[in-house]
Amino acid sequence: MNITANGITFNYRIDGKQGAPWVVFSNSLMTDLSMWDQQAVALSDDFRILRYDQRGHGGTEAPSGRYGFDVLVEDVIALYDALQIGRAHFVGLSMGGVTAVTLAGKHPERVDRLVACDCGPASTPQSAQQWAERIALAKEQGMEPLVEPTVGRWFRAEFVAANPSVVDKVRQMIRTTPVNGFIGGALALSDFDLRPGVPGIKVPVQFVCGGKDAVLPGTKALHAGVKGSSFVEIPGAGHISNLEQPKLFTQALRNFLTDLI
Amino acid sequence: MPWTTANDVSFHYKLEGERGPSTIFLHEIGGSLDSWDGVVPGLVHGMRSFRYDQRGFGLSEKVRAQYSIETLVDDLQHLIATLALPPPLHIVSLAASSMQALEFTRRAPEHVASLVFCNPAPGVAPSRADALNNIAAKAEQEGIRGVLPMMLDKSYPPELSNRDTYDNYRGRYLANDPVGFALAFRMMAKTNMMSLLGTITCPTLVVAGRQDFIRTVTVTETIAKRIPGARFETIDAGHFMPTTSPEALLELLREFWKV
Repeated sequence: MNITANGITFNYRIDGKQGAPWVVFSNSLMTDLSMWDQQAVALSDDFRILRYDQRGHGGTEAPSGRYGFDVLVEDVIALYDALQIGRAHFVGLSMGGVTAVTLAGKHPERVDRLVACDCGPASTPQSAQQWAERIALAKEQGMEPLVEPTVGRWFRAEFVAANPSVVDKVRQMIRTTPVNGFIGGALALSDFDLRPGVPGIKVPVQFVCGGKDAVLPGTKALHAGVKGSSFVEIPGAGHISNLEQPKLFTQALRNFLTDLI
Repeated sequence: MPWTTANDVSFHYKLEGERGPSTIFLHEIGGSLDSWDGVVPGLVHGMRSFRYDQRGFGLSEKVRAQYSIETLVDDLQHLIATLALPPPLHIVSLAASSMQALEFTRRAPEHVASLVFCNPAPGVAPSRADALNNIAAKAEQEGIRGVLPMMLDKSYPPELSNRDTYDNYRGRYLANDPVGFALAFRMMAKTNMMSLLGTITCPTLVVAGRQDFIRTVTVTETIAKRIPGARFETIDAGHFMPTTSPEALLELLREFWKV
């Protein structure tokens, strides 16, 4: 489905039970809403589920220029307004996780519970340099040369060997990401700092990170900064923890989003 | 005398405030009349406040027989009669005690002047009943410490209040009679008062804690929308709202009752 929000056309998909509490999923750089397929199926009996392709990704428009996290959060709010969603649980991974934490700081009134996965508190000169190199490569040769190095960073070798079909889908998502979209998101990830806003976050937050994800210390640092937040490590998973350990990830998500009583 | 016998059970209670309308404070499962320590003293000049330890909790009698929500409302009606609290009554409930407030209002709507529901849990979905019964069984087998990871650790992150307040609540929580705790959970598991929400006719305030980890704001707002004319507010508070955020709640109550 397509809808115009914040000045661009978004591709989105709604699943699940009518009238149930909303859960919104936000994808990572170089992926699209299909990264959440397994979670959407598992939660569809208990929740109304909105998935959308972040700006520059999947079927959403890919304007040129840098996508700051302020803009990615404006996108979320504009989508909520367009789809008449007052308040929702929000789940984001990596770029989606930074989007999530930024959203919680700026618009707590639109957040029920927040789940931020596999993301760190701030860019670093080193990470900015790495993104600059990848951006240069994409500008010159398109997305293809980024496919295998990205898969290598995201997933453990054993997972890649044992799950060719899952990894092929990821390869396809990376390959088909618009270069503009990749650059816009990569520039956002090259220059962000969640730390000033973190102490003011007052919505219930759960941080999730793969135990083998290089960003694990960063996710733990965010958890330490958000009062009352919880932390779940997904054992054996790399960066895209929901794809590598879907059952464990979904169980942790369901436990956090479901009312105890 | 802080004890009285009503409905054949010994109840520990406090009556505070010399003048003003009768106000009843119902504590949460695992709490006691002390749960309202941060709120009631702020109302002594405008309201006559009655709070008590529910059967099986605090310093009230530790019963051993399973009871129902009807029993708890019988308790309240006997207490009101024994202590001659004059209606109309303002009733403040927290979490599962909203069930009691709803059933009391169904029985005696003419005696209820207003209702305040803090993080209400007015009904349990049948799909959650097993989980609550499991908590009850675990409490009986292992004591309250055995259910801390699934209960207090989830519902009250220590950061939601200052450390003394948290330690005090945790101490009281662990001091609960595990059997009394289990009886309350089994009662809750088979009670659903959601259908009564639409029958309320008195002024009603529903308050959601924005840091409530076991009831979401959206769920609480949905409950508020089912009560005709109810006012819905959110405050920075956890599930145990009068403990984590007594000032914010007190301010809302004063404004709601205009005292």
